[in-house]
Amino acid sequence: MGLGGLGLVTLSSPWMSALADNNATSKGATNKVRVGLIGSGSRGCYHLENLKSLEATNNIQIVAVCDNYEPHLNDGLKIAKGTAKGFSDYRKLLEMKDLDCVLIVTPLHLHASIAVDAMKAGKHVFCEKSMAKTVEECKLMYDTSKETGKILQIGHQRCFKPSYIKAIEDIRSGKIGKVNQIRAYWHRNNDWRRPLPAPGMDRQINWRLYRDYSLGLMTELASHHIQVANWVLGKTPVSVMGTGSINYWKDGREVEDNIAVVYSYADGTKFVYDSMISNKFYGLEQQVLGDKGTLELETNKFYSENPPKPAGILQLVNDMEHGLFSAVPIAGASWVPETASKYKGDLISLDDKADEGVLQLIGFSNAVRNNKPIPQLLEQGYHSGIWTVLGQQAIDEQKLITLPKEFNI
Amino acid sequence: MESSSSIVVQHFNCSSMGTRFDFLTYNVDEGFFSSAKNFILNELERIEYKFSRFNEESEIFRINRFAETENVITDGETLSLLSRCREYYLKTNKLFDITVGKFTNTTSDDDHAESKQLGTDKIILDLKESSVRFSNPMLSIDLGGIGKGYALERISKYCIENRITNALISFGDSSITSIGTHPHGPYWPIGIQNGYTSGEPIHTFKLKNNSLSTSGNTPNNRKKFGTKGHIINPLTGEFQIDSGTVSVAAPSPMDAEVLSTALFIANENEKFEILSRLNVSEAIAISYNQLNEAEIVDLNTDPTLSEKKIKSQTPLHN
Repeated sequence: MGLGGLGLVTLSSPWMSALADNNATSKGATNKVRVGLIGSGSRGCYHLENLKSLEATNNIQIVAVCDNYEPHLNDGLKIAKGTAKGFSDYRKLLEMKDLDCVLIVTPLHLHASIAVDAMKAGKHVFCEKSMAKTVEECKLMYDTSKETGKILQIGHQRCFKPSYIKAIEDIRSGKIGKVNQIRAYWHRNNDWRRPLPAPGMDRQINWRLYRDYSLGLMTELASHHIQVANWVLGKTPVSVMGTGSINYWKDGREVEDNIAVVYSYADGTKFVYDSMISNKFYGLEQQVLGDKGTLELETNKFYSENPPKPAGILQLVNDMEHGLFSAVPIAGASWVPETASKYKGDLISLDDKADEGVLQLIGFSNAVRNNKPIPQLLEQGYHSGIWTVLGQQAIDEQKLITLPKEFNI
Repeated sequence: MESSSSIVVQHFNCSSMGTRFDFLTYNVDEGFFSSAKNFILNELERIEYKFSRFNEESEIFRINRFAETENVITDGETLSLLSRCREYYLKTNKLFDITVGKFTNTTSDDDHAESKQLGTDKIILDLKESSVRFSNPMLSIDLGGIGKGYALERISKYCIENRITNALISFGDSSITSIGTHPHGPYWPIGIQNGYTSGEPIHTFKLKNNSLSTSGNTPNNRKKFGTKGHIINPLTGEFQIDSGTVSVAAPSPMDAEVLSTALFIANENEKFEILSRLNVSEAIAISYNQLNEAEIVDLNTDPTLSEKKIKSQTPLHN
């Protein structure tokens, strides 16, 4: 889907209107969006590269970079190419008058405090997923956005991915029938550690492995698929159960190296998720299972429950390759179910080239420029954030977890 | 004829216009094939996007929304396509009608009354002003009956202009266009099966630089659309419930697509009359009796000169 199709998707993906709502063609200084980035580690540098690519086309400017680890700060300033001020304390960065918004790309435990401080300082916020480390922090961030009127966007980039947008449209139009289950998995085979630049820096560099800073596989990986499951179903879960353990990487880490959670929705639909880091054969996928078809979202594939029979064309191909010339039955409708093993499915979207990592920043910068929140995007981030945390709670407590009423929005 | 060892088959498929699309060629320079694939995928998406009546940003959606109350300025391609639809409407005795889609949106008992207000001739085209206007509020355009034919025409033209001299292009088996020949024979041999028993083809079309379209009610599309079928007689507003199909081979994929639908609806007396107005290579009707035996009738025979020629009867195979 090209961006020209935005009108089609605004019902099920209303945030896409932000991409069309762009006054950036006026290159005047008053229209320029001035961005600061907090946390220029590897993910932060990825965002800086994208922001840099948008400086020429989307009338934005990177005016500040902050990191309390000097090598990372230098990495970030190098990408910003000299125009940005460097900070080691984000509070100093927030004091800048010529700053419209910040990107928060820090370890998870810092998301809430920095985001709340930023919004109270009058800055719009783009915060990497997962939203926060506790449900209380998620709610505080949500409430602060509403109270201050400042935009708060959580970095669930799949919301902007063309094949996902098309998939949601297909689901809404009934292409795969009634969705009864969503399955997702994210498997890797490594210790999930980064090399330490100096002794004693394990917790600072490998913060994902320690419970003071992160909830591990749930917040750093599963939160993406939880957001997509809610988006697909157009609702949020009513409960979650889960389990997990450290059974392979017994190296002092505090977060599980394998987990499994099951989310239940009010109509009985289930979202079944598992993640592990000691086998990568199955990799990454999210499957939406309907009574008429299946979508595999990560690989942009659609499989009908009753696929058209390709036998005629395949027979023709075979004849051509083997020197045969005989009539093959092609003309007229034929609709015979085929064994799944031979059926390779079809693409969900023919156009999946657009970079959702860039699109989400275009949406954010347009929203900042227009001082207009992006419809329903914060809610996507909030629901994903709290149900990610509750999933971890289910794993920790080994019991069915529901959402306390005070966190309903 | 080429030896099998020298044949490199090139094939891709995708979903388009609610069905499977297949493109098959051979011995084409990889660069040309790659360019053709890109063009075809983009063109299929473009045509579906532009002419879908369900897409809120399509040209047809815009015309359907505003042409009741104002002259809607449109582009040359849309105007040309609508103009051709009007010609088809007249040449098929009003049996090919792009306004008939209105009936698929309603279960009203007033269908017959409504049918009097419908008709492609009631779409006012101003070629000088490039505008479209509906003469009454009942009108609504649905290009579903011609979209595949139009796409095949565009793709075929591209291939011929870009050094692809042999190809078979299929839309869900019901609309097929051929360019050149099969690598091991003087044409593309395309068979039609008994819709109930499958098995060997009961009739073979010899396609070479022409197109084949099949319309009708078969056991398979009855599963999809139900017993009432899916083809509407625009003169009555009623579904054609007859079991059977009509297949038309013609140089133009649009002619073939229009005629296969119109001839399935037409009464016996007007079929030959309609066929005489368009350039057709071959046209057959297949009907089934209670034993699922197929009877094939040549529609190109003038009924005033002789009895309809029954080409063959096929026994039950299973």
